[in-house]
Amino acid sequence: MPQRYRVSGTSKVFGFEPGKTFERELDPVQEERLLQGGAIKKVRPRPAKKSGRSKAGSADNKE
Amino acid sequence: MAKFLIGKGSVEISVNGVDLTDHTQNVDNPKQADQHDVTAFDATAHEFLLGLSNDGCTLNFWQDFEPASVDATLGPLQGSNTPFPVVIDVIGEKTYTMQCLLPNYTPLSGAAGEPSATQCEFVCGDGNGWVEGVSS
Repeated sequence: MPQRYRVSGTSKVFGFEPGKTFERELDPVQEERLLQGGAIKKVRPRPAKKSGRSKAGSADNKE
Repeated sequence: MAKFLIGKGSVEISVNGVDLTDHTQNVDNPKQADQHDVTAFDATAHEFLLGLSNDGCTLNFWQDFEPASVDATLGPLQGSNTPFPVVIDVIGEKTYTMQCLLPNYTPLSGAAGEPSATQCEFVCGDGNGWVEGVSS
């Protein structure tokens, strides 16, 4: 299952510039090596808000 | 056809997905095969047969201990039997990709007052050697 990552170092990773995020299904060993080297960080998905609890006009309702 | 100049914008080097172009000083990616001497008594010159391909890659890097740079990328790869991709992208022309292993790695090498560089010899780790593709 693809995961979301952020390029956290100063080098491009898989062609993505530092600071950019990308989604990819990485081999676990390759992922571990890249995480260990500080090249990428995992971007954890924000937990979904429960419906009906967010206030009208809050950031969640904008867009 | 124009002669090819290695330099900015012409070649990109990545190891295990990390772009190390800005720290690469030298590249060699020989495509080679084992050669077996099959000379017999009736020959007046050596006769060879070529065997398995024995592709490899030698990259020289200017050392950098920052996260996600040279040492952080190469250190975890040394000594592991899990292959990782080395990609040489001749931009706009072709790509060379090989699943590699890194038997040896010298983190620190150089004399006093000189920049530290490390020479890495990558060997093929999956039996396919260099795989050519088209550069985007």
